[in-house]
Amino acid sequence: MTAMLAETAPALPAAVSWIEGALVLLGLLSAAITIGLGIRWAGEARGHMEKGALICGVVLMVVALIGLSLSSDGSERVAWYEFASGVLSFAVVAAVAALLAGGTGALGRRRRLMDGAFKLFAVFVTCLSVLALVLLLTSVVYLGWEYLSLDLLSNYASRTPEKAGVKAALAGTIWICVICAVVAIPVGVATAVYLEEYARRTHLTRIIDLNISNLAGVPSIVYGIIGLTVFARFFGLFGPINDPAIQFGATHYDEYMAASGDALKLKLPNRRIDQRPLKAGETLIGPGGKSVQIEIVPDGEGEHVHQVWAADAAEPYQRSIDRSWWYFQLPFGGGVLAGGMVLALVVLPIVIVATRESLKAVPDSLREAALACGSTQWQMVRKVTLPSAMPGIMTGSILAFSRAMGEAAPLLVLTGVLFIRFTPEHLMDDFTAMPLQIYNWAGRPQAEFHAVAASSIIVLLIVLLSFNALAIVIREWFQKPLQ
Amino acid sequence: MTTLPVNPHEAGRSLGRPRSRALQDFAGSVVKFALLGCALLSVITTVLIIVVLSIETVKFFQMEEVTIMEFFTGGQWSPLLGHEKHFGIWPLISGTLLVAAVAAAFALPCGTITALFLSEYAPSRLRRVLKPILEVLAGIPTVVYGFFALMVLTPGLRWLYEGIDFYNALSAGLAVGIMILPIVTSLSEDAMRAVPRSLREAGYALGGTRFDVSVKIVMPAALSGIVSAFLLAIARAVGETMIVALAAGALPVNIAQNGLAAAADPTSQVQTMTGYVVQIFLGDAEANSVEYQSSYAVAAMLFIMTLALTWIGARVARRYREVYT
Repeated sequence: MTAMLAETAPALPAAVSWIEGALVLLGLLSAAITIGLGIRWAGEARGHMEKGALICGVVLMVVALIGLSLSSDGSERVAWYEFASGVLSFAVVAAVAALLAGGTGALGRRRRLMDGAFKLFAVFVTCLSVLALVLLLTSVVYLGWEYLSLDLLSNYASRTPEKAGVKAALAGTIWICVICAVVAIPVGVATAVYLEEYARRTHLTRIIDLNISNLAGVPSIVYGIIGLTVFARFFGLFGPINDPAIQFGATHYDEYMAASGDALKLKLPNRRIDQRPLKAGETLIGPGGKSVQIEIVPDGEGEHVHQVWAADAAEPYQRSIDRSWWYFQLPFGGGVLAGGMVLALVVLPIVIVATRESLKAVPDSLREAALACGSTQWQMVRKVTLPSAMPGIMTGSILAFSRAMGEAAPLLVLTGVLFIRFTPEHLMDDFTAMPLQIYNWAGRPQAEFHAVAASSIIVLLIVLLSFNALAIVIREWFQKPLQ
Repeated sequence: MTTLPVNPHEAGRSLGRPRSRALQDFAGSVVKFALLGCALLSVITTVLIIVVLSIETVKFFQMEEVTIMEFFTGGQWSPLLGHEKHFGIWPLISGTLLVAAVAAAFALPCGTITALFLSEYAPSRLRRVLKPILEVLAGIPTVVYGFFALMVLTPGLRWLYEGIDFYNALSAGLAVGIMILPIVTSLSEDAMRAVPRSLREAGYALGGTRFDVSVKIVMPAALSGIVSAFLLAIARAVGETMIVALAAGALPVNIAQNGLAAAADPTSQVQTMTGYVVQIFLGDAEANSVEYQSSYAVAAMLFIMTLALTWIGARVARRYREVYT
């Protein structure tokens, strides 16, 4: 088993050497923060015992760091238990020193010491989460810098990493996010308006309320399964995806081989028609969309576009479909429409909660004024409440939009990972999305594809962060206090 | 007194055509029902989830290879091994819980302390810088965390300790922990800031230090909010998919053979419930085959687990909330 694992697991990327550097840097940075804040705090502390304890601690930390760096150089590595026991013993010594120093002092002093120590600890922990973010962003930029170029945006996915790009994924992401917004924002806002402005506290509203908070906690992959069963397959009620019961905007053709090797297409009145032998003199669509009258010649004779050998005329070699931009089918299949609707399910609770919050923030005096002027409830909502809540609604919608943009799990269930070299052209078209493409590349064994994945992450993060920045700007600029 | 010539057309436009009361009432109730319809869509979604998952799960249990007894008690999950298919859910649950436990061990203490720092210690200027940073952390797609776990955390951990597998629960769990950290922080900070100022001032007036006030007054007062933040964060960790699909591996631990100790080893690879579902829908399992149906049963278990966590979280927040006026 282990042998197999070793085979399937890709070799360590070359990143290890810079990770060493990053770890040392992280250690030094945290030490610097600790020492700096410690010195400042020591200046505030009055008793010399605390100062002594602090100096003890700093010296110990330095010794530990030096020991660590000495023991970890070259090929020899620290075993994890050595490392852990080192950290632990350091912590124990520091705690004992602090307790000794505090224990000799008065009660007030000990509490002040506790306060300072906790503050240091809290600063350290807070720095950890900031450091996690910094480490994440820098490592992604470091790994993906090489492949970041405009070609990345204009190329389709490829089997060679140098030519691989995210054009199809970016187009797919835009399609599904727009569909998601078109579905989720009106429904979400309407739900919130109903719950905040219309509903009385009945059993029904309490159920809806509880239900929305539960939906927010459902894992997105479950939505993917629901989307696959309901949107993509429609419970199987309307036939399989490849042979849908309801279909608009598609033209079906039988294709025949001409003697010259070109394909000739015969337009079918409907797709359920049986195959029939080709008759001489029929009009077919030749190369370039020109109509040609065909002629049937004995096998092996003739070589014109409109000549078909008798054997080939007996049956078409394939059926083909032209789908127009308004092509529609039921069941939807794993196309952009199903993808967008699944994402709408995922983000709907976010839109509802954000809209409710901003509707709650609209003061009742505004509503009362509108009602006092004789407006109906709907006029009040439309002309007064919704406009004043608009900045909050927009902020929530943008945040929901960026959540949808980064969501991968439900799409993974819905479509799987497809190798796609075109941009979607109608609502039922196959697609891939940025997170799916990143998942695909990150899961491959070659380090070059990891670099491509990292550079597409940079693209995705730039788009996402600019959306988030937009949300913050709207919140800061347009949100007026309404009191 | 001159009367202004009034264009009846314009007058109608500026004043609004007088409409009958009945018409207005009718329009109002149409709007109301349309809005109610939208609100009911969310209920329909829940109904769909429950109906689809239960129908398909029942179909799964009706299959020959499966017994309900084995599903709920079995310690071996090997649906893809030709002849010897075993459907015991515990390896997947233990994998899920292991990843969630690593994540919780990192994120719950760190998140609470960060929240305490932000609400009690940090000057408001620092707060205004730190909060958006945490928001950025919350906005990063999970697939990016998965990439981070696979490309940075795993090599880093393997550099520290060589005995770690390439796919392991530890780095996946840590990445999930970083992912849920902003949830813990922002929800518990909200709870802490909701504690009224008067309580803090009373603490300071009695001579308490900031530490005393934070730990002995603010934390107990905000406890219900903090606990519900913990539960919501754990629910997110349990349902997280992309990180574990990339970094945790795809081999469920065989508890029946290797015992519980193997299931609790974070250095080896595990498969979580979400990871299994992804594996099935990515692979070419035929629709209606037993392994395909099993993914619905696993998803149903996952749904029940996360629902229970969020529900208990909401109950805790409501039941034990200290109400201050």
